[in-house]
Amino acid sequence: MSDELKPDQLLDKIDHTPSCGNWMDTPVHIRPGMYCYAAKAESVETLGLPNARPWNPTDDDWKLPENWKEIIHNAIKERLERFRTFKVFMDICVRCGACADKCHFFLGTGDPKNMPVLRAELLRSVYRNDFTKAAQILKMIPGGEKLSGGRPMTLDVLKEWWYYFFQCTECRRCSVFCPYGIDTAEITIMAREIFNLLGLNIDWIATPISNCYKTGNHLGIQPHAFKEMIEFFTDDIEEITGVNVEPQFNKKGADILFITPSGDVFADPGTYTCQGYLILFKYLKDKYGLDVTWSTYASEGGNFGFFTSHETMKRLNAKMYAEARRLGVKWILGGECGHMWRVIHQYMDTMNGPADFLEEPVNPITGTKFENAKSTKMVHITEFTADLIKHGKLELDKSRNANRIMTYHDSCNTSRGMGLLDEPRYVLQHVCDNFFEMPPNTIREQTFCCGSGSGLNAGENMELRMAGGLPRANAVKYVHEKFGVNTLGTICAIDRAALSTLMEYWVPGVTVSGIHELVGNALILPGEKERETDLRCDPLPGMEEEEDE
Amino acid sequence: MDINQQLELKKEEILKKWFESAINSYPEDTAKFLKKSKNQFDNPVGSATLQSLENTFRDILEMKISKNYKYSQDIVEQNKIENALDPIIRIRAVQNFSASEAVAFVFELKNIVKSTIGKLNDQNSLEEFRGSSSNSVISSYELFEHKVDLVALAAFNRFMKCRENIFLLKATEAKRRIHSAFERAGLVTELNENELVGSSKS
Amino acid sequence: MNQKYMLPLAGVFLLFLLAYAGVEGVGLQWLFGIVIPYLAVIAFIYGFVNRVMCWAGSAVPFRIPTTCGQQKSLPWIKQNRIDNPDTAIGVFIRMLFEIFLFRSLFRNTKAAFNRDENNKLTYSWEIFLWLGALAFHYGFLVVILRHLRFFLEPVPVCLTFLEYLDGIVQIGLPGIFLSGIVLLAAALFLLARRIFDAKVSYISLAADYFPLFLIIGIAATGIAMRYFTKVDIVGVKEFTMGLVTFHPVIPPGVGGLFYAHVLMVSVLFAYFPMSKLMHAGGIFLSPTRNMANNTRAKRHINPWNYAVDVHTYEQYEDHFREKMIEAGLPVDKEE
Repeated sequence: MSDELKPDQLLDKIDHTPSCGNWMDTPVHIRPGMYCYAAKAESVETLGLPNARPWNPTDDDWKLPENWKEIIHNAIKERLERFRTFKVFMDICVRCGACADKCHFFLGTGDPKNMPVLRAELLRSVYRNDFTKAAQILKMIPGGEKLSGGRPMTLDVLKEWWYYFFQCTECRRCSVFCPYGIDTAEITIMAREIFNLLGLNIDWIATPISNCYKTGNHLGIQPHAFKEMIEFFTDDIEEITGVNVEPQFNKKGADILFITPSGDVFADPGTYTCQGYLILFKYLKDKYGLDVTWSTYASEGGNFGFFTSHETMKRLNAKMYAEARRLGVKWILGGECGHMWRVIHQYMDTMNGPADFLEEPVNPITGTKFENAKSTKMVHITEFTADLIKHGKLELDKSRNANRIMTYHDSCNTSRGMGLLDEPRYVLQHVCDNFFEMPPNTIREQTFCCGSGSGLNAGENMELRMAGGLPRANAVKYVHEKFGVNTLGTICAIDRAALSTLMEYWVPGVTVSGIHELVGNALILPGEKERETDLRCDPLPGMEEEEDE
Repeated sequence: MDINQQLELKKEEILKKWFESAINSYPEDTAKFLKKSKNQFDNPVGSATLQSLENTFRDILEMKISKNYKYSQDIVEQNKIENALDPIIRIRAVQNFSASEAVAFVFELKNIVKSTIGKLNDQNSLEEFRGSSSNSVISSYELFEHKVDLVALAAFNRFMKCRENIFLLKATEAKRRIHSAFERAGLVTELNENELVGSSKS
Repeated sequence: MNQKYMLPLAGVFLLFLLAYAGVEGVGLQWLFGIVIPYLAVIAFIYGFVNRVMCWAGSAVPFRIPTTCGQQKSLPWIKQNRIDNPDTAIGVFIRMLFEIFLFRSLFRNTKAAFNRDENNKLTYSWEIFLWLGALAFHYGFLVVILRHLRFFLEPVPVCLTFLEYLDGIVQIGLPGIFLSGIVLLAAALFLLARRIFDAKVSYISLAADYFPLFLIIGIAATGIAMRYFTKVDIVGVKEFTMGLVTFHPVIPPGVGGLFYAHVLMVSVLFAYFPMSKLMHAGGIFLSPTRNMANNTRAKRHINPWNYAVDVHTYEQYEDHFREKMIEAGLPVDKEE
């Protein structure tokens, strides 16, 4: 017999199994490209959050407060009382595995700790050890500790938490498939609250919230600059349409206050969506006398506080109602944004309401009562526009979008935290002729996240974002190849920024566009000149040849 | 029977083994899942990997190789194969792999072919396969090895392109965040660090 | 061998042996037949109530249902009233579907059937999770209901009818009850899935195997008594009626196997409230499923909604007034 192994056997000899079958024994390795930089001390200080200091996630020493374990233990205890979701979700998971392959981060990275159930178990294991009777009984038996599935809190566990809870975009897709509705987003939210008690936020979240607190928006655009920025769009629109859309700012006594994520004001391609809003408001003003105002104080619809803690979310969100009250408007209209709408729809009224100083929202042009928003008094712009279109109040020229072959990406928050599914599709189909849906297991309530939500759209974690966005990109690629789709419509500011990059990597040839950019293209303003280009200054369909002549 | 015919004959078995060896570079639990579901949308990594390997294998069979196996002369074939490799490499470029781990699956093909074709020749060991009296088998096996080398070079090229792409995206995205008009308006300069910090202190 | 399931398996064997030997060898019928069952029931009731009260004691600060369909919005847009309910009735129906049909688990399978490129029908294992779970829970339910005949005198008609249905497949004597077989088979399937599906095996804990082994043990001893060792039914009924009427008796002629069965049931009862088995109660309290999606229409109250520091407009204007005036933005105070 020869000692030499045959190739086949050689292959069999390669051991691909992780060091051990137990995930608790697999240590965390914080890999560049997968994590976001630590929060700057100044940003943490602005909001008076604890333990502001410079630190680096890849260092051994995270410069934690001395009693950090106690802080975590008490924080969990407090949150178990405050949130039934948290307590119930800690107790009732049966680890059936239904959620395991539903997470875009698991599908894209192939890291088993990105299975939603395991992400939750990271925290649950400590909960079991510290808070359950079963673990306390089992601890009395020698070797029983292992049986309980619990583990004590250590620095390595904390690092593992930090690494993986910042690899969750709180998209809730797992929750759709869970037989008990366990929502990993809730658990991630709790974990991130705990991180903030220890000064462990990431900079991509901490700096925007610090900016937002002081200047009213995430980028820190000061009031005069915000106004100038929008006036710049006004110039661009005038060049294209020949009409000055005359936006109004901080106007007392206006009918409606309009709030949109500041991403629409400063980041391409959101800026074109912003121009779409401006055109719509001008149209409504000229035709029907509707008076809409922007605010520089409440100049941010998005709320990165939501990714920090419930308290920070409330502090940032307070500006919306405060400004509506100060300006004396009737109700508030909200732009295209994902997590902004999760906050407005499920949290705002509870946190900062009641909004009894506002009127129950009625569309003054069509007379439609927005029954579903009668308490919060805030209406989504696609609900508003869909209502206008349905009543034939908008004059639209679809042919100006004829070169767009569209598909639509449901953003996680508006689909699974609200159920806004058909309104944007209705608008889309009335401003554009070519529309193709992606496969059913990738849209509506089963939509795949862009991979960059919940404050993870930084630059340094690009590998994570591209891997997490793979399931989404893959579905876009399918319709791109099958139907020639060239434009991905979306109603989320983070999507507009993140999906653009995602498409560049996975599906070159697909551009990302807000729904109201297309509305802006199609809407015929009173007194406009013949348009030659769309809002991106690209020639309109049919105009390309004329240029050549 | 020349090696191309042999490969064609054993195509399914080879592809199956190749797919498994590629997938086994993932943690065990993940690998089992990636193998299991064939749905393109529920399991994008598994299905793209399979598709990409199939296309690559097809291209290997169709490759037209220069007479004296000059790598520089086979650049056209190498470029062709890069396209087939794109999906699998593009995925591995953003996952938890070092450069060598990301492209190692290409080299696995040699071992897999040796073991399967070796059996086909009715000679159960590699030694015998190599020592076969038929010269044509030996030379065509060398041809095959040369082809795999080309695939490996192509994989390396593509991997670098993807990584460069990632770094480019990191750079350009930051730019896009600031709308071009923003700069034109001269608003960016007003938002320097000092001013922001200053405003937060007052 | 994997310690995660070997230890629970050994534990269940130990329980079996303990009761069997205790009764057959030492004559501890009173311990395994009377003391432990009473203690177990007390532990179960106390633990269950305690756990549910503990959950209910936690606040529900926000209304955060997972919406799985079109919301109620404009009158001409068709709402999905079940998957995205805005009324209590809608929530009730959604919960019924969840509790009785495991709707969310079923959703798992909808996409699992697909035709691949070669037009071959592909499916994933996941439909079997749903089927297995349904079979397991309904099998268990019928078995429990059937067992009520031991605790009620006279036996209600509906129970007799249920038994008739359960035994509708007449094979041999005594007639086969489907429910017991289904329960055992489903439990074995769920166990096999946990051991052999790498993904599920990776996430499983000892606490996931233990109740499965316990239930398999209970079903197996039950089946053994009914079909093979032919336990003395009259004696058993005398025993159970004694327990429920608080006049416990130890009937002669009932052997160790029966006490092993009783001990395992007792352990299941006592273990229930401190384990994941509480999902039976938890599902009713899961805020992502049991709340209506109507937050914008009806204000939800957070009991601990405390005031927070905010950056007010006045502070904002004080800070930026000059720049605002210069830019032509309206201000509240001119200086």
